[in-house]
Amino acid sequence: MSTRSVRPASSSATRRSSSSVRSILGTFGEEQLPADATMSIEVDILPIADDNDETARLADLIEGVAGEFSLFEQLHGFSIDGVDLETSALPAGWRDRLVKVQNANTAAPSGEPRFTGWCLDKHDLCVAKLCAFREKDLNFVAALLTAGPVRQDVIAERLPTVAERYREAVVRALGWLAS
Amino acid sequence: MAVGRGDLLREVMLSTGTTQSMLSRISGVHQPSISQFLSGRVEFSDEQFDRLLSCMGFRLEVVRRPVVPELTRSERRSWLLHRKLSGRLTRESLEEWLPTIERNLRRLRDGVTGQPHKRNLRRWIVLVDERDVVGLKRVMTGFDRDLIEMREVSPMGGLLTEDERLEVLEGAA
Repeated sequence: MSTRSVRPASSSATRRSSSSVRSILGTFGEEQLPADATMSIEVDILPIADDNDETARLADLIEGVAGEFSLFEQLHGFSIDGVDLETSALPAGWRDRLVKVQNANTAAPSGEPRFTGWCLDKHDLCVAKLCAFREKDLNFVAALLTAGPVRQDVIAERLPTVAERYREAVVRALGWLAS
Repeated sequence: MAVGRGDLLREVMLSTGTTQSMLSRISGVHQPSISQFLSGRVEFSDEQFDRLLSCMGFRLEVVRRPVVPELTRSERRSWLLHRKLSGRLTRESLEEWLPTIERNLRRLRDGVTGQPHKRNLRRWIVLVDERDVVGLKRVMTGFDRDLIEMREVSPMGGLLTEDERLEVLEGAA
């Protein structure tokens, strides 16, 4: 996963929503996050569909409209990156822990309707980032651990529940957490 | 999975019964350096590696072959977009692009936090300030991990028309 956080959305929300919060911001306000928590100006959106082919197709559509170098980016100062289910390692049960975001920031320009965005749970986000294990990912998780918003034991408990193909990444991540 | 140089060196040392201190005495390379090579804390060149291997009766053979890099969908899309721009980047076009690039850099400075984003942004700023066309092309087309990550804070937005951009993305799908 990139430094941007995955923000799953229901298929209907993906078609209609343009909420700009990032995944961790579904749980915390920007002012509550440590300055060292790495964030770029991109927002990852995972369209939820019946299979990954359809998810990938929707992700490409999102990219076309609001992705890198788009007019949307020039207008709003951030871009939206459509991602698919292969993008990141997510722990079992992540869908049940999604954080609902529905407020003035998710509303249409007229104020209505208020669309719904679904953000990853903060610990699930840390699991995904630790499996990716790049400098920015480690910095992000380290900053959250130091500042207190996330718990090391919860991350460690969920890490082994990601898909089998991430087994090596889990061992590496657990080693990092314990160090 | 590629085996690191440190792992290869360790393998040869084990198979030949060579200790770090023995290898240090024969090669003249300080033992702490060998230890750091083995642990991966320090990178060493093919030449240095060959020198150590020759002390144990081996030579280094380097196999060169083109490989398709492992990229996420977004990393590949970003590379394609930057490659398109790189084909147009010249000293002259860079001067024309500067107002857009500088506006983007200001926006990025306000919008990104943490490392490596801020460091990468500074690297872009230096390349642009120095009008380093070759350096910029390298960042725009390279596959080293740090170059891929530099493109995540790229100031090159707004230089392709929407039609050009969509055409590139179509090729990525």
